[in-house]
Amino acid sequence: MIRFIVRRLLASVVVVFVVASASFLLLHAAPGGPFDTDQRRSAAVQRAMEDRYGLRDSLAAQYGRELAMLAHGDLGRSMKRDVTVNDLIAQHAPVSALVGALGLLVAIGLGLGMGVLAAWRRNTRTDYGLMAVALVGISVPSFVLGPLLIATISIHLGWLPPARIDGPAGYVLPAITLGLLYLGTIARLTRGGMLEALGQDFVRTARAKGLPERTVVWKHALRIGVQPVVTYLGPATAALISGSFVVEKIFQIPGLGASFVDSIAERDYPVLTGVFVFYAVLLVLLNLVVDLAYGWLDPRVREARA
Amino acid sequence: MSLGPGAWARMRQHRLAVACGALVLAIAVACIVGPWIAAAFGLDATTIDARLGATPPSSAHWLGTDTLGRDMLVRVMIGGRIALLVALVTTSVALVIGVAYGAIAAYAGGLVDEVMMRVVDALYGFPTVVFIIVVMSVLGTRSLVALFALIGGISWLTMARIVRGQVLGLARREFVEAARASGASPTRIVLRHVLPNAAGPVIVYATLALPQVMLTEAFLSFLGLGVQAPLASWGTLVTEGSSQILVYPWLLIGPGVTMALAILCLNFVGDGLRDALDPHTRKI
Amino acid sequence: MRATSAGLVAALAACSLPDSDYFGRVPAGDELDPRVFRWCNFNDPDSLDPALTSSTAASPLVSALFDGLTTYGFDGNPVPSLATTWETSEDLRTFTFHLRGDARWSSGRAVTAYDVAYGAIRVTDQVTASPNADNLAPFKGAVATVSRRVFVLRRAVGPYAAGTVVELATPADPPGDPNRRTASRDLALRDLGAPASAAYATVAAGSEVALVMTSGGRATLPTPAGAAAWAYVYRAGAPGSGDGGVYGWVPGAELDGEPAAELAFEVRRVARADEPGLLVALAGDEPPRPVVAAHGRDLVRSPDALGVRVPDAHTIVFETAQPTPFFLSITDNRALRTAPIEAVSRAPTHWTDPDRIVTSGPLHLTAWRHRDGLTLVRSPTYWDPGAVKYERLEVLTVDDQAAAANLYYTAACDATTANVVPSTYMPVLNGEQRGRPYKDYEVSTNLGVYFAWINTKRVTNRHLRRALAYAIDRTAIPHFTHGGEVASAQLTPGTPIAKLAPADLAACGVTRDTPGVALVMTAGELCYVPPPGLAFDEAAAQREVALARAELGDAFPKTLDYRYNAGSEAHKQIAEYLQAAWARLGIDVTLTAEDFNAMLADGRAGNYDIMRFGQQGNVADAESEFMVLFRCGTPDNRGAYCNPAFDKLLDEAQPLRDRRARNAKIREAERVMIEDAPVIPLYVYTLKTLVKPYVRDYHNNVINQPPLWRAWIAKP
Repeated sequence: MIRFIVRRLLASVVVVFVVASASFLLLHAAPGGPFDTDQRRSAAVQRAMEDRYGLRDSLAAQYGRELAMLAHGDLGRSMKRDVTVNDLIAQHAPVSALVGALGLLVAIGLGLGMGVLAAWRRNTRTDYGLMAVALVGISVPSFVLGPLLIATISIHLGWLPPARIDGPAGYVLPAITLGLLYLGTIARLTRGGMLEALGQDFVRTARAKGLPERTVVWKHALRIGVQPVVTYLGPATAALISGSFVVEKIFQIPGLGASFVDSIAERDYPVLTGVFVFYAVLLVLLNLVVDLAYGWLDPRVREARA
Repeated sequence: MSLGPGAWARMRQHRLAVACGALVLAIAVACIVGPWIAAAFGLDATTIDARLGATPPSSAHWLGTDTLGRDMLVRVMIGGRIALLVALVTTSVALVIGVAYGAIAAYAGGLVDEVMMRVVDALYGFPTVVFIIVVMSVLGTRSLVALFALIGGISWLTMARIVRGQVLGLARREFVEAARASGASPTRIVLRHVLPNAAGPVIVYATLALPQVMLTEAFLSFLGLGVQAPLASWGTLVTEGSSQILVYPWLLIGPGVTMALAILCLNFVGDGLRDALDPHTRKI
Repeated sequence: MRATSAGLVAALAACSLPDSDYFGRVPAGDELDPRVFRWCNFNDPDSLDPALTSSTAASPLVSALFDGLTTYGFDGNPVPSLATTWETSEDLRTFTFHLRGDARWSSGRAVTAYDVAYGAIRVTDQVTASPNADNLAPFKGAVATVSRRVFVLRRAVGPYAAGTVVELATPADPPGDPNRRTASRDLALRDLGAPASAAYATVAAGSEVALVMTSGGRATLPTPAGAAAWAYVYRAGAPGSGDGGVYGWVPGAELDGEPAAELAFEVRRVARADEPGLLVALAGDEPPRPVVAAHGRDLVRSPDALGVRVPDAHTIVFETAQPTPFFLSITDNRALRTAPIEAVSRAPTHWTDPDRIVTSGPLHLTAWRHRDGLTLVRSPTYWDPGAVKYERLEVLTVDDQAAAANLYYTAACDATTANVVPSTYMPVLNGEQRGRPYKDYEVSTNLGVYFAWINTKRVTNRHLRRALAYAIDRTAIPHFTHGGEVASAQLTPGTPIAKLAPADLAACGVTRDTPGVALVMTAGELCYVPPPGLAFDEAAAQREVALARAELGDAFPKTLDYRYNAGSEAHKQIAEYLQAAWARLGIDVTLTAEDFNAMLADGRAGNYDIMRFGQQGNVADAESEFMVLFRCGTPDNRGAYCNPAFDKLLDEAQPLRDRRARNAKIREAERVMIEDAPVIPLYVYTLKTLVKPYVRDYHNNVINQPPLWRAWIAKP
């Protein structure tokens, strides 16, 4: 077990190195630099600005400096904003995490319920209806759903703020928009898992023992039926973390996404590399957690690893 | 598991899937043929009438016009061509890479298999959408080919896993053993005996990948990284429309409903195909 | 399925905007809190440091936090602030400002002329890498100071006496920095005159520092009584790292090591016009300036070479190399705002954090939640306690236009900064759709022009360029940009002549029915009317394209590429509109959207045929803000346009002291340029703001510098 974790963590160092190198090379290969401007600027000032960050040194020298800083845990300083990358991540990542967690909560809460209900009432109108809703959730991109919700609920009805988080009410629409994307998949996975579980012997036994249907479904079958959802949670969380910037933009949430997207457009090399590395570390850790959780749920996997 | 007449019978029972298949086909045909017919009536997707501007649906323009006075119906049809082209090509790219990768891994086995599958695992943990965004931005100019390669390049992972599983299962079956015993080369065995029998799940997955790829393209369009103006895919149109719902709702309704229908229907078709071809696969 | 789409249609119909006088909710009187002004800003400020910021998002905040000699009035023109009076020399080359005595930093210390001078010294120091350094370019020696090509002699060398200002005689980069210093003992960095025990940072013996300035110079703080000169040094951090370095004063004698003492330089005296302290009018020939060999130990980079002098704590004198009629407009610029040396020294890259910042303006910063908002409060130390009527300014940071409009709609902010409304909302706001505009929607002209560069290196044929310009009916563009933009074929932007005040009409020398725009430089007094451009003329376009075909033959380009930056609907629509117009001439143009930085890089490298661009002016002056773009071989000349006749006219305009004569020369130059068509002007930008009806004295001006501290909330 310990060896498994250590091996994975060592592998993660490789992943981080690869990600850091890839993002460094990619962005430096991009046309334009961080100090390109449409304002008037003399060559002397342009050079001074580039020198401040050593941008006129050779690429190899810059790369070496970057790796050395990374090794010390210093992600550098943004070239476009008055902030160090470490501070930037510390400020914005928790906001992203909170909104992502709320979205996931919506998706899991509703998705599990819908899936169980659909499986329980399989091939009825309830089933078809719920699964149609799930499909709509999968088919409507968040950048359409978000503006639609804002137009109806915030602008027309005036029930919730259209953007920003200035109180608990500000979390509602982003969480729904974010959650609906994953809700569909979770509902469909749960339904499939539940159908399989409901057909298994131990469920039939439980039914034969005369246990109420409710207990059979929620206590016995769900434990097995939820397994595909657990597998899915790894990639889903990953996607939520690195992919929620659309929702962050629509609802003006000061998360990490905006910093990241801007850093690409602005060629803010340190921010891009820093955030990319941060995402990679997070994903590696998440996958590890999911694998461990899966092993805990399924003894066969645990044995295989030992 | 086979593609025989039994599967077709099962498929036909899935009436929603059949209806949806017909609808997707109809949309596709309309998108391909429609612009030519419209041209006969003097409508095209590029003629600009800035003074006309955005007008709501009318008998002259069934889906209205956009802010440059262009007919939305034609724009939606042209957009459909691009969206479908992107979906088909990128899914094919994913299919080729995934099938080749999965088959090689499964057939080679041992250390090669181990390494290849760990690479897939690692890529699963890679922020791929983020990666596309970076690469598309870095390329600077946006070309369709780059879009195909990139979306295809990240969509093959699941396909590789499915194919590998299928091949591993099939490799131990009698007819493969028989072929091997008769001295057929490994390439021949894979191409002639194994892959055709793995076709069912692959087709199912490909059908389900189509709407996914369309959404990815739409998402890239939202970020301004999609196809180049004056071309506009459904994704581009929906993005433009969703920013104007308070002002010109028809700019979202036309492309939005069409795209949602197409994606929804492709998903239903995929479900139907799965029930017909591959009843044992878990629903995703 | 049908139910879904029917539901969608119903939902969309339900969410169209309700019909009323104002856009969105207007809170009732008892809901209003006059103590708080909530302002929707677009984007997070890049920085609040006046030397380091260059963004539109930061500009109005910086001018509220840091006082300038003058500051922005309602109309954007400078009004007295830190300086109460000033004198201008006859030759428009020397400017003397007298400062008020009651100005205080938020730390309690008096604001003096040294703080203004320090701001200028800091901005022109290469180490600061200030994007605003060019704004001080008219100062004697400013440009050469940034590139470290100008020095003061520490001892007599050849024919030159100690104290002479010299410049590098060769075009090559300087061989090194003569200001490198080391100390044989630890350096205790501190405020000027403070004991070593009050040090806030230490530099280890032997490690290198850079000498920034010494006390007792022309523009630097006086040396403490009874002491030898002190030195202000900088210990750098690693480039790009989180360590931003530190500045501090030490007794000059402690710097006993000069690593660059033996470096060899070739220098000569600077031209007379660039010589600080030479206040006499320039006449006659330049005396000879022999080149001499000098060593690092003979030279020092010093603010003495900058044309700034502080004769006493409340007087500051600026000298410029050329007559500078628009000098007053520099004095409210962020490049010349005061900077608190004690705060900057301790934390050069994060002294503007809310817990460290020291301010001199009407507002003070108490919180900065990045990408979310800032809180500014009325400064208790500001010299005009009644200037700010509210207690708190809440800045809501928004980086999405639709979100900004929606926030305003729901009354989350009382007013917005300019141009945060998506172009798609515009037809509703401006009345196109309802027949009447909303009353809280304000449009004003902006000193900015939207145009397309033509790369003259690639599109070498003048007729072809002229055809491209003639082909565009600009009047259609406002129909799909919707923001009241002023279609224009003239490059220098301005107010539509039809909308000028009668006094300005007279100043411009035009009649009301003259087409086009005019740039009012001093209201009712001075005005610049740009020459008419190559306005839409189908026949002329056909004629020019035929000439081009005849001249070029097979070399007539089969296709041209037009670049614009992705992400904006308006840029895209304009691109599509131009493409269609050129297609009618038989010129095939492909469109390429790239991200902004890629486009800028292509522009700099000349890797394009036609490219969308925009230029905003900071000062109402056609030459310094717009014509300079077209001078041969400057980095801002992205079309690589070069016409010696144009440059010559501008050179002739430069020394003219009569502003009308100067304008006439510039107009002549602009005519030469526009007839060569290196550029296709399309429209004059506008500023569109949303302001709730209860907000008073919040107005934007042509240079987009709303004086936020003057706004207030009227409770009915």
